[in-house]
Amino acid sequence: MNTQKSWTGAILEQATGPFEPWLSCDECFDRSDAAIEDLLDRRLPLPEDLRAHLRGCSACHDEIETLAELAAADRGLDQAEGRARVDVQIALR
Amino acid sequence: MENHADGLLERDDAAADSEIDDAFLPAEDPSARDLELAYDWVGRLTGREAVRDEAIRRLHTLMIRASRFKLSRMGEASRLGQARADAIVQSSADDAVVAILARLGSFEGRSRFTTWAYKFAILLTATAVRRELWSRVEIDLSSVPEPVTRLGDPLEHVEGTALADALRACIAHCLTPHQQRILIAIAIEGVPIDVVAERLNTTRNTVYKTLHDARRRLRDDLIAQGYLQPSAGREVK
Repeated sequence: MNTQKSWTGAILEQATGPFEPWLSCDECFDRSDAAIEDLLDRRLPLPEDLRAHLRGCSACHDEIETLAELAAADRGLDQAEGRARVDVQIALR
Repeated sequence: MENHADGLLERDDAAADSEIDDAFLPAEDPSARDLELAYDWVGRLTGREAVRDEAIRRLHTLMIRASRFKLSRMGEASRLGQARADAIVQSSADDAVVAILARLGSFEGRSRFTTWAYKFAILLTATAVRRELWSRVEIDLSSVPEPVTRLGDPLEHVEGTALADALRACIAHCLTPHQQRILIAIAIEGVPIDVVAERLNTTRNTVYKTLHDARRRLRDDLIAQGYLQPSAGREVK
């Protein structure tokens, strides 16, 4: 239960997003591996629709952070660095 | 595609425990990483029987590793207990191998095979953990809860009662009962989207679409009333 966050704040968050352009969870899943490698290997930003989806779907957000950590470790990078790069992208407006 | 994994993934509990204990973290040695990179996953997984069987076992070990890693990143998973956590790791890795073999033809090489494969184990593990943790929690998705009163939200006077009233009115009048229920379950009650999907016997995709449409209606109505700016969606009152 989300008891800490105020009702008004939680609902307002839902209205302000931004959660567009639209991208489905399935499309997010399909594209996440290539997008994460572009981010880690070439520092290419995550596509706008993917970022919007990750802001709006906490489950996909949680899962892509883990994917970034594992992919970072495979490259000899710090796992936290992989996660941080994703979070910076999601915070971009 | 024929499922080659079933027979190979049958094992006794002791062997399963041993495999979980042996699951490795990403190699720190660069030469070991190079060897991993050079491994021809697709060629071997579609190769002759002995080669394919070895590749499937190797893939399973990789999925165990990814699943355990995901579990370790979910703080709430500590409530599962070791036996249940190990069972989820095992079943998620099994299911990931089956899913990967079924979708091998869709792998286009846009990423490393291992990165592509990890996401199956991560998805299956995370979903299983969320559903398990909520399995004994009753969630009423058949009716719309009563709106929260001002007395129920002491922070509201700080945030503006006019805005709070507008939000309540918008939810009640702009959203369908189904949209209201999904929005409140996820945004207010903190129910994971996978759990909502499971209880409604539908998919994460479908629930997310409902949530997305509700958000858009909510935002459009608040913009029309002057509470949000059209461009940035920022609060103006």
